[in-house]
Amino acid sequence: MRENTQSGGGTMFFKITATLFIAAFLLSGAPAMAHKVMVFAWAEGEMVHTESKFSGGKKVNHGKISVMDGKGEVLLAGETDDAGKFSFRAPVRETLTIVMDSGMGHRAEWTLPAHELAATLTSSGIPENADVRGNSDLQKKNGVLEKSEVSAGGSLLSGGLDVPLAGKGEKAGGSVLSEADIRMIEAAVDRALDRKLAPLKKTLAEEKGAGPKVNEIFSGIGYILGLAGVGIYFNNRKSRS
Amino acid sequence: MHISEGVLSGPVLASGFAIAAAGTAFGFRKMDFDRIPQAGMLSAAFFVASLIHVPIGPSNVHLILNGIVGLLLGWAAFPAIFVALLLQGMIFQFGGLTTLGVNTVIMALPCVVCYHLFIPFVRGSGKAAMPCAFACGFLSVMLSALVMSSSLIFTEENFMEVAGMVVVAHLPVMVIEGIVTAFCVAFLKKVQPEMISGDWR
Repeated sequence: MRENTQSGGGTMFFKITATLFIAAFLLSGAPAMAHKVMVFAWAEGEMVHTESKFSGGKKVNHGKISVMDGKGEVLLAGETDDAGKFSFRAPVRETLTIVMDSGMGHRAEWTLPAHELAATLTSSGIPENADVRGNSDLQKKNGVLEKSEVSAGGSLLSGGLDVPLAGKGEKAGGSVLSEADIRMIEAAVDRALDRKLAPLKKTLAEEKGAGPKVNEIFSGIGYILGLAGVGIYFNNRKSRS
Repeated sequence: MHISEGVLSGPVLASGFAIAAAGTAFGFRKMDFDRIPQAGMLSAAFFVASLIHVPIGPSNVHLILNGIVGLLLGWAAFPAIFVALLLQGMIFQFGGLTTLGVNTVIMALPCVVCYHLFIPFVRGSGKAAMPCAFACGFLSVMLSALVMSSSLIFTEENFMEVAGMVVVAHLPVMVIEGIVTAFCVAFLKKVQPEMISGDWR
């Protein structure tokens, strides 16, 4: 003896699901990023390393990478290799948005904040301390840069630091640490820190993109069964009244 | 086969939502209360199936299970899949919330089509039941691939190229799903035939 309750349980279920949907939109402040495919990026000095993979762990082969600045202009583009990696030299010290498109409708983004990039990059893209890396061409081209070797008189401007040189004629090996020494030490420390921190940064990045955890799976199943239960409950009430 | 955020254009997303809303509303009407637990179980099964990756081949594909969902639920597959996709989007961030409509259509429309194509044979007791169950599982994944490719038409260059790639990438899934559907149908016919015949009286 069954009444025709075809639409009864259905409408209650519908109302509940609609409420859930609206709640989802209101509660999800940030847009839901697709985790079916993921891209991670971390900086090591001036180099930016990216790694792209699917949520099952499979690496993205020949995924298209495009690097954009804050205005959405594409600064550079490339493709991931067989291991899903793609590295590039950061062109500017700005917040970069790295977009990876693996085709078939799968796309992922990663925002790399400016402060993670090496301080040696300026926002105009010309490295200040170029001579530490031996880019003597850059020094000759750009009249702003001065050699940081000890030279007769003058002062060096670097990131706002205005320090007079150790003195005329005194070489870097003297009793006073010259500006060049300080610079070299800073650069060496920076490089060492970058090397040591890179694996940490990579792990942190991967943690953010980890796949579904078991408790999340159970919660999802629980939600579905709960919705079904609520639907049945309301339907029973309706058919009884 | 979830499409990510930021890939599709506004009109495609909007029409996806329109079709999904129509299908879901119709599915709710058709779903009588005896079937709610069944719909819930199948929705949960679909929810978990997307986590099962099929590592064959170059690209990353996962199980869909819309063959068996379609056979057992018919039009009610729309709300069941919609709820599962909504929760996947919220909890795992699989697919996106803007692409929820399009993803629902991609997964649920083949369910309904294959249901109407194959259910007479699967319900019958002839020899055609098993092969038709296999065909249902196989075809529903292929139709999903085609719907997905057509939704990508306005972003990708060439439909034939994208469709070919997606279908080929999902061939292992099609075979596996065909087998799974056939086994499920065989089991259910012996144990609880009402689930397939839909006759709960």
